[in-house]
Amino acid sequence: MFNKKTAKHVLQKCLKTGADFSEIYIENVIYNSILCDNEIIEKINNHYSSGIGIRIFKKNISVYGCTNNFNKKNLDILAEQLSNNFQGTQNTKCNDFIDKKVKNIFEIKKSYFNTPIEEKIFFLKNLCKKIKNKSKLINRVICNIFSSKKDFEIFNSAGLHAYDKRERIGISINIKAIKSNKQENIYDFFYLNSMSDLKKIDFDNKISEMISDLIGLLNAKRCPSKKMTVIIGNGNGGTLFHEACGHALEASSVAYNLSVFSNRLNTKISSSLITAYDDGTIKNAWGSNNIDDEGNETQKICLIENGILKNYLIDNFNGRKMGQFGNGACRRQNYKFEPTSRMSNTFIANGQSSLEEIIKNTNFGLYAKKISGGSVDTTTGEFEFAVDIAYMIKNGKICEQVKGAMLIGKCEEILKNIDMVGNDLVFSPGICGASSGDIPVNVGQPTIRVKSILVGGNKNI
Amino acid sequence: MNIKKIFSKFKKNGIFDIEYRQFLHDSLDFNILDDKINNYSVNKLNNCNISSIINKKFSIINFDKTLNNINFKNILSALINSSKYIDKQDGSIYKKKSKYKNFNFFNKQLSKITIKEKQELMFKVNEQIKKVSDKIKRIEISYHETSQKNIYKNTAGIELQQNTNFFTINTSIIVSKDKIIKTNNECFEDNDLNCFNIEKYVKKLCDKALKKLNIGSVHNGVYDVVLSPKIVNLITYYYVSQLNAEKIIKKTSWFTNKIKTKIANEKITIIDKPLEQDMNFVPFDDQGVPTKNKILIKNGILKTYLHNLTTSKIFKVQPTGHAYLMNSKMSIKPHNVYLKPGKITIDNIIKTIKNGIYITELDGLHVGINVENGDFSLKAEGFEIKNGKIEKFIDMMTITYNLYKIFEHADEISRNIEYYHKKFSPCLLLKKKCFISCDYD
Repeated sequence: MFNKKTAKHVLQKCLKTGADFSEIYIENVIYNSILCDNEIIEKINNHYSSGIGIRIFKKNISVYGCTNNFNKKNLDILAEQLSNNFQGTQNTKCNDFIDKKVKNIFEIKKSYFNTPIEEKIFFLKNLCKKIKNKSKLINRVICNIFSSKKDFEIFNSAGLHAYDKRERIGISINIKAIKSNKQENIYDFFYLNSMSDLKKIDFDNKISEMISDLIGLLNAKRCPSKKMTVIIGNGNGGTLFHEACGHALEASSVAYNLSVFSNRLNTKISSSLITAYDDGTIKNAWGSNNIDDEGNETQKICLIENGILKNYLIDNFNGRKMGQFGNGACRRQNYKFEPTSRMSNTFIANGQSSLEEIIKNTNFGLYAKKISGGSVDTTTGEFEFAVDIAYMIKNGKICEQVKGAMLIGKCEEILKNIDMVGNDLVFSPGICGASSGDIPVNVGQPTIRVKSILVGGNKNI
Repeated sequence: MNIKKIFSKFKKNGIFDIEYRQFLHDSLDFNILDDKINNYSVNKLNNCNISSIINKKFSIINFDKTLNNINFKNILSALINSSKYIDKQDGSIYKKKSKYKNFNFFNKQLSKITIKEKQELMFKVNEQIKKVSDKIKRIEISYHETSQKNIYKNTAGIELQQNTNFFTINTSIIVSKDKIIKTNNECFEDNDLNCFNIEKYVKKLCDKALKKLNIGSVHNGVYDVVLSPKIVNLITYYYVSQLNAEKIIKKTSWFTNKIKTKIANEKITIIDKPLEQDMNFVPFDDQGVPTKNKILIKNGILKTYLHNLTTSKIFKVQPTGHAYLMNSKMSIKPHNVYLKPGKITIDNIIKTIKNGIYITELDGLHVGINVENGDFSLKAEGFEIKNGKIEKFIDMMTITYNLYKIFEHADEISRNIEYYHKKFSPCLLLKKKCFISCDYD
């Protein structure tokens, strides 16, 4: 634990030139990963990281600095360097610290770091072997297991002292196949809270589905290119909502009027069929946290209710510009990044239709079963997403698999164009990269149908 | 504890091949939005890693700390433990006494200029932009400055150091007219602020942004396509990345078994230039091997793969200085690749096109290119070319083609054009090959 006296001394120093708030974030992280390539253990990575981030606010200006030198003199220099950005005299005192009670929403029965390495290696090699044996077309299987254990403390001049720890385990599988000089690959990612949860993942079923999609890709033709109806698959399909809408609801762009959704609270921004949440409180979920990186409790935030914009994701600093308080949505990758408003577990709530009904009601279109990633310009709302696994839909039936599809559009148009929402909500874990670094997030949605999106692919049909 | 003592302690424990890498990184960032300093940050970081070869196995341990705060016994046990479980027995360290090019892209004057002076300069940029047009609605200027020292040492006596500093000015503006809103950004990098020409920078940024308000549309179809120098540079890097010898060994690269064969048309010569005396200067790779400027593809013939120490032994060739430590795995990457320019001017290429597209931006490359087979379908923006002239701005379109076919079937390569401060690249013409689809069709 960081020395409270030192914390108070540094926070006071930060306030010397008239700042009204100061904060110290202290972090210790152990990271380990094991990479298995075609049943050969290629890499074991150990990373030990510790560092401190200092943040100071004066009204609507924030200054930030970080270091991994814990020497008191060095912290003094950093605090002084940061506070010198303001000119004035001290008018805020650092309050005495009150320890925050943190409610734990994670149950870790068996920690990754207490699990023998032999057990993890056996799991990886076995997984590689199982996958390789499924098809002669598979020429490479890369499985990776990793975990990080983070302890962190937050002290601020308002008297907050919060301590928490986080541990997450991720498993990635990458399969490559070759047929007649044609190569394709498929990727999936799984998460666990505890090594005892390994049993809960039905790897057999997941692998079979991955291989079936991969072999389908080897035989697939390029996707036709045109505007068409697109059915976006549940789970990972939520990436589109996360990127195209979620980022535009973060205070980091809303507070500066840099978002297409700035100043739009309580107005209709999407189809009435859409209700969406960001919920950082889901027990044991990949994107959850007990507290955010400012020490606020995480919350379940209703973003959109029946098409009406209800809330933004707000951190304390950007909240100042918006006249609102942070709502537990402030996150950072580590001490090297200044924290800001970010998503956690973001999802569209279940609707009424079954997948079968949605397909049956579609005369012609694309079924984007799995989206790999993309990006969005939150100012214009323009986005692009690559589709990993896709099928054509003709006359209400799923037909041939196609590849190379790219979805392109403007987020507001897409949200308004959603005309069917399924009842099959599933979450999918991933890593989201933005200004405060790479953080674990869950995307989620039931199957949805968008009346019209520009699909990039091969020549028109 | 100093690294020489650590090396000798390893030797006492029977471990003779050790590498040490240290990265000292100081950075400064500030940002101006709506005429005010919006945020400011400084980073002072000191990271290091120690890697060992035990029973020919490469294992590594990383620290966000200085050596003074690290317990030797913990390092030793972690490295020994990792090597027990790693199967791959192909590790080695570089022991050859070699000559290294001596050049530091480091300007002492940069750190002597006060932060206030740098902020004043950025406010000048802000004022200049505001004067250009009332269609410019928002200006965000980000200034970033980095000073870094990379150190490499190994137990074979190789001790190397490289110092670099540079600044980046990145400005993003929002322009609007009627209901059209567009964004544009322009970046400038150097380590000498005297090289920063505000007028030239502002003109480039604003001209392009304002042109985006004059939107046109094209019908879906196959067009003559000219790739701008920025795009050519980007895709050349993607293309050359597949020359990674590890991928060749694992048969997952399109270039597998293609050494000394014709893989592109005769117009294509690609050179890797790590020793250009600019901010891309890299005198040694992550295994301490000296780099050299090298022709990778000459007149369409593949001359070499990119190697680290491990792959060079397998291929029985000299290491090419392309080792790259990525997430603790000794991998391979190209440095500073260039497509050799042609003789024709870009104006003469444009003049020959009746109906085409000049592509200036490609988005989603990280997910939209299938590097295994080269197929891509990417969001693009650019300008319509009509009867030999560049006309309206086209956005929300997709371009579909194949990475490898671009170099196989390039119709023309222009003379070099400066697309970025001191960065040159030619344009590339593809006649009736790329399929374009547009949101407006």
